[in-house]
Amino acid sequence: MSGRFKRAFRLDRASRADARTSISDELEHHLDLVVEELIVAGWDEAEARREALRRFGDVNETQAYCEGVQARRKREERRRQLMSFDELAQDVKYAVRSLSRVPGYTALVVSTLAFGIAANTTIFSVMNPYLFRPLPFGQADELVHVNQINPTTGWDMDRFSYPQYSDWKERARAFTDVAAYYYGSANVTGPEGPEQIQYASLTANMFDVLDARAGIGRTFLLEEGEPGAPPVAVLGHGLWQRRYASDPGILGRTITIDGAQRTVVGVMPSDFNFPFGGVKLWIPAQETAAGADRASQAYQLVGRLAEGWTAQRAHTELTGIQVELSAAYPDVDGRMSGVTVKPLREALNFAWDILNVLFFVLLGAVGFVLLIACTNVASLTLARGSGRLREVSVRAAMGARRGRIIRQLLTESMVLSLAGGAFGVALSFWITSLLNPLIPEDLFKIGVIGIDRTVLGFSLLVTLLTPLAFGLLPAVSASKIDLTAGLKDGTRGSGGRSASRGRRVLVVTQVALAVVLITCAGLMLRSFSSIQALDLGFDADRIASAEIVLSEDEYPSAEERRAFMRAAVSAVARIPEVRTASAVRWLPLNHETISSQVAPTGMDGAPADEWPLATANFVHPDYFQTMAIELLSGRDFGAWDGPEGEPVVIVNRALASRFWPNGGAVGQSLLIGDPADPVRAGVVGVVDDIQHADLSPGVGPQIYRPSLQAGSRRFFLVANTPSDPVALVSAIRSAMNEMAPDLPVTIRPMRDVVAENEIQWSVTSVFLSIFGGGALLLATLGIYGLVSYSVAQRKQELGVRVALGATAAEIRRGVVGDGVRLTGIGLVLGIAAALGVGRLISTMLHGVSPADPVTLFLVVGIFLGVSTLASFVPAARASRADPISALRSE
Amino acid sequence: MPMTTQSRGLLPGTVDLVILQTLTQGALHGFEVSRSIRARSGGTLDVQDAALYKALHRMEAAGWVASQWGVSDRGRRARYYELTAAGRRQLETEVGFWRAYAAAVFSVLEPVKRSG
Repeated sequence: MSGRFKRAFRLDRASRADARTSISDELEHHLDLVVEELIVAGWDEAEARREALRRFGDVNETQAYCEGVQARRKREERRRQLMSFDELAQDVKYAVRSLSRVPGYTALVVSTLAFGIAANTTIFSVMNPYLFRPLPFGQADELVHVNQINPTTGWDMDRFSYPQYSDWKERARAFTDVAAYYYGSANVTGPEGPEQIQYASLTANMFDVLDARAGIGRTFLLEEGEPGAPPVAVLGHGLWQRRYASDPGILGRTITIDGAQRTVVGVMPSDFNFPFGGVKLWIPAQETAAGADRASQAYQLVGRLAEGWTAQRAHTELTGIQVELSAAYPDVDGRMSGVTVKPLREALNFAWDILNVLFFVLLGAVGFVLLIACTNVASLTLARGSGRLREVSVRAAMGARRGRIIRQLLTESMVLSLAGGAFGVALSFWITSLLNPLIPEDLFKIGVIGIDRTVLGFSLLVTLLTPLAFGLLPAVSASKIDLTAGLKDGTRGSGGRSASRGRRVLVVTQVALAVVLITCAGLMLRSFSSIQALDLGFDADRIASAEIVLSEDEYPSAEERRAFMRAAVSAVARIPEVRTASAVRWLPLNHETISSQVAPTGMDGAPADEWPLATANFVHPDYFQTMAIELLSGRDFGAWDGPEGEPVVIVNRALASRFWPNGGAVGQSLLIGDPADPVRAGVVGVVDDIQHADLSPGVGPQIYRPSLQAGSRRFFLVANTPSDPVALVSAIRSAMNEMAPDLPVTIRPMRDVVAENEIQWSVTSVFLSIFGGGALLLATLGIYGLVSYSVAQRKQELGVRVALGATAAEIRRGVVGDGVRLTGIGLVLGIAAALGVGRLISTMLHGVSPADPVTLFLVVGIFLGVSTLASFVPAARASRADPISALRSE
Repeated sequence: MPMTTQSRGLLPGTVDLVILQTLTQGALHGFEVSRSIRARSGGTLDVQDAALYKALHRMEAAGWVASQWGVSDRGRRARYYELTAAGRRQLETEVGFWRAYAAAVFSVLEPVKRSG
């Protein structure tokens, strides 16, 4: 029986035939046999046929029924196959086996994808703590930040005084509660050594408004905000670990902050951050509305919206309160024109706007990198697809359906992509661990840069989408095969032609994307170099700065503070490597810009809001010489410009030419400060403009007054040296230590302060250059791969041409021309796109236009050069084509 | 045209059973199944051809039989049906049911004895 069965089951080509013919064949066969039987029984043929049909019943109905059953079964089977885990495992096993046979292809694809995915993961993980990670506060979406708008300065982050805060807290119904804070720098002393630490002074309800709890101990009690309450402090986790060696007995210990003893009552958890990462110490503000000056505006407000209130609605209510209070206090509140209500994350981050643009620029860049990586892999896979035409044909001939083949090929892509993703995430893990120490902590971020669950989710998503981008086209193209051609000749099947057209499109796309990226990188590099070449107005490379904050207790009077400043400047000036030394209240480019209203004497009596604003500063004698700021006319301040001297001022070129366009600024008088009661100061000198607030072009009016006519607790010593300013650090430290052993000093070379302002351009240039370089490399590989492949495909044609007398040079020209032509198309498309993208990022450019001819010229040059090189190697191979073997195999 | 067949159609519900049992001899095409049933029942039972093919396809969808095209003894292309393991189990269940059912019917058909 089984012998007969086997014989009967010889492979039949019709087994794949359509169900319709298969069922009608089956029924036809049956009817034939019945007819034969009847003929044997003596019927004539026509009669027998009729009888057979009659006996059968309704043939058409039966056929339709059977077809229906079969179609349903096939659908069912297909669904089961798609779901089948066994088959998936089989596909994966098959994919791994077939990939291990082509280690070169696999390594190239996996590393290309790893680069693309690492770039995406890194950028996302860098931005995550700034833009996405949830704030470490309970119900953070209810929290808003409130500031006032100052119409004269145009500043929309103006502060509140404590009495103003009390009024707002009392009147605003938008909030369940409002808290206020300001931050500053304090001297912390003790057995651990003196140190300047940034702290924030908070109304005692702040932690409750934020809904933040201490990690160890507790936060403030409400009564600790009342004047006379025992002074307490809460430490940041980092400060506790670093300065107090994670002392488990820290609670109850007394520490000295600005000379005053405070008891530590709590340590915040490590992810707590308010108002920014640099602040590591919190103390309760002990003020009352009655005891504080309404005009002394230091506080910013944080409110928790009550149920049913939005930021928009709160803004309307608060604007109303502003109007009421303006009427009640026209001299103080009346100077402000309104309020701003912003989400907390946005308000706490100084660089929110820049970061947002930066994020989308970089994310766009890495998106391009990944796209290029995908096109490259797609192109490689297409080439491999035509190489394995025979394998696919055999599988199809053995009955594999098209969908099944596509799925197999996609599984292979998925295996490659997952391997690439794993390497990419590992690479990114390493990169982010290098990045963390380089990131300044003053920008508000939550936690550290690293790979967390959100980032992993993002990477996984990218990894899973990638195979669709690079695997689908090759898989569909490979499955669309003509069996006979595929089986006859594995290398020149009909799949080859469409695959090769697909690859050309991919290479053009790739070049275009890489051109966009390289152009942006070029524009950023040019911006960065324009920033570095920017004349700051002072010599950043030769100056060291030292920040000093004198404590209120030890230096209570302005006279004592001035004496200390004079002594400190001369102590530093005595250091042998120091050429000159001086002091300044607000260091340039240190993000502290204080403005005063100014007017020439002629404008006396003009309305207050017509008085222009000037960046103000207080400087010690020799400041301009030390900073190498050019004195254009008049004189520097001297020791005689003290409290008893006449009020004097030195102005910058911009102010002098605005007020006294015809020259002769020296000897004039300048009105400074509150237009109702200005200080009248004699102009004694004019100096060059400097970049004080930031690096944007165009410097407005600046004024300098003698610090010896003021007496600030906080100032910066500056020292000019012909050698490296970094070498001055220890000398300045020991000089200061001799003068005041307990005084903390923060010393920084001026170059570092400037570099902080350049970070936006330096970070973007570095990242874009890495991504652009990667993109260029991938595009080069793409061109090389395509040209090599087409040379291999045209071996016979080239052989024939050589046989017909084409010289090697002609062949080379033809092949290289092909590669360069594709690059040319990509270049034209890419530059058109780059011009569009350039306009989008124009806010980040400095000193170059988005259509910078130098950059564009270089990009064209680079791509033409690289594509010529990439095509030349296969071209050289082509020119050696052997006519004999080509003709023979034909 | 009057019905002239001497054989009787199968009772509903028994078609599947009879076909499955027939296929225990090995792989057969539809015509062979039909003639085997007729031969074994001495010509008494006859499955209508339309019903036979519908049943074969239905049972293939149910996984009780598997089919494959082959070449018959007489050199023709024919579709052969074979019992699957699931079909064998189904047959056992059905046979068990019919045995019990038939026994019950026969015992009810015994002449009625008056009790008491």
